[in-house]
Amino acid sequence: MARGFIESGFDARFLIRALVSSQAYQRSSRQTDPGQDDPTLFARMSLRALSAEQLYDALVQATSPYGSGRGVASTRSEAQRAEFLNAFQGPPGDATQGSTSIVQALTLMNGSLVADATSLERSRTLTAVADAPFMTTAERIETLYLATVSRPPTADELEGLVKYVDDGGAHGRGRAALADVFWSLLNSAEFKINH
Amino acid sequence: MTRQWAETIAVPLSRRQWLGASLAGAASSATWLPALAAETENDPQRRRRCILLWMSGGPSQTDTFDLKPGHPNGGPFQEIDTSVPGMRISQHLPRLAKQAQDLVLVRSMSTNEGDHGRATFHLRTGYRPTGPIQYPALGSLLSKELGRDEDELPSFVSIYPYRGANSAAFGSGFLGPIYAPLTVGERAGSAQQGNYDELLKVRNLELPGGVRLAQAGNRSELLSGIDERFLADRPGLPGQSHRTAFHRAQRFMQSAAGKVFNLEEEPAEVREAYGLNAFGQAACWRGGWWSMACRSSKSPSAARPGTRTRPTSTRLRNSAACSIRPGQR
Repeated sequence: MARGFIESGFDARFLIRALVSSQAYQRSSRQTDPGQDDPTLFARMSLRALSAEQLYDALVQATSPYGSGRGVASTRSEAQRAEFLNAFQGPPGDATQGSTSIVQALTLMNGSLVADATSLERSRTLTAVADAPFMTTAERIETLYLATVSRPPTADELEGLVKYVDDGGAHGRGRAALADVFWSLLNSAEFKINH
Repeated sequence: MTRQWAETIAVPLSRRQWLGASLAGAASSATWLPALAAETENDPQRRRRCILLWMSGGPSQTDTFDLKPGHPNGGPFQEIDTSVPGMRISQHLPRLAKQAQDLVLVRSMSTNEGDHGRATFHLRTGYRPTGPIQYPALGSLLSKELGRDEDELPSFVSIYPYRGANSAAFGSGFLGPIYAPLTVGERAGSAQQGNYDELLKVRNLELPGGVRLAQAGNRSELLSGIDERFLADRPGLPGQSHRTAFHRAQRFMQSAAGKVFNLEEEPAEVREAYGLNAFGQAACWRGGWWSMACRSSKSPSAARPGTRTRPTSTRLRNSAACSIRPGQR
């Protein structure tokens, strides 16, 4: 690869293309064999914590369908961002060693960012999904999965969640139960860890 | 303008470590909560706790505990005898002098730092600021070494911190956010008359508006399900730490401490004894947290229900320690 890089005239795009198309780079984070435990062998991808900025942007992207990351940011969202980054800023270093604090968990569980995103009155993503008349429950759940973890739910997951939403969760209301699903996805390890 | 703050580190400490940790404080906290202390002492499973009152901009040692009489650097006040023969402190601390048997004074410590920011870092981390290494504050260090994963309450709480001198001296440094303090009342200094209650609250501890308890229970079940499936074949620290933190946060929310402790519930005379200013109210909050932590610890003798009156009355005595704070001068 060193030779190829030299021959390409030190083209950074060549280097990046070569790296990302390598098998080592494309490993899954799934462990299928105990022999994959040693991270230096690149037999599986190590889980990596998202940086504070990545996590905030991911949350905004997943919860505001109209791309509020662009254009003139409001003062409120700037303050909110600064506060969020303050709570999540980790020490520089190895993202595979990234850890979550209680304060961070509380911020995600109860903080205004996720609370607004999962509120049936204030969340545009959620109300759009919950109120679209042409969708079945399964399709609504699938849309929430695609918005958060960028994959459709497995048949197994879908079955359990459709039943939960159709039963209406704690309030016996399907829309509130859908909010619970959205909340769980936004707080999940799958959402906040690069895998 | 003086700013002070308090932090509580609820970890088991050896006597030696405890002394080390309290070096940075102006006064020993051994006079505090004597009844609770006696009770705790008899408990073989006891947890030791350390309170550090960080009196940034406090009164000079030559006016308080080290008057240096007859020396060119001495202060203008007279020394008085205390209950400990040979230990002499300022004439302006007569009540504290009667409690001197419970004090440890350290007069031998000196550093080469003449700058507030650097000295703050030195005293709070044990290291002089050198190069790019971010050393953790004492509380972070202790909660890493001595905190337990199963603890219901965060083991390092920082109340009304003023990080202006050197913000790096107040964080967990290279230990990472998991050992960072739970910070309460960061903006308590900007309080208008009387709204300390609002400012001295743990943020995001309550469920957001519109979410009921049963719903929160459902949510955490859903979340566990999703996480279990995802993490089952993905071992690694970020995932483990995610689950631990969420479980601890949920326990924290559910624990008596999370629900019950509220500054508004303190009797007015207790709050007044602490002083109706940001520091006094922060110290009062800390007192409440302390008794909460004692009750929620697994120790049966300290967790006895209905002992509320005792911590309250002993906390009144804390005002002796609080009265040395510079804000009253």
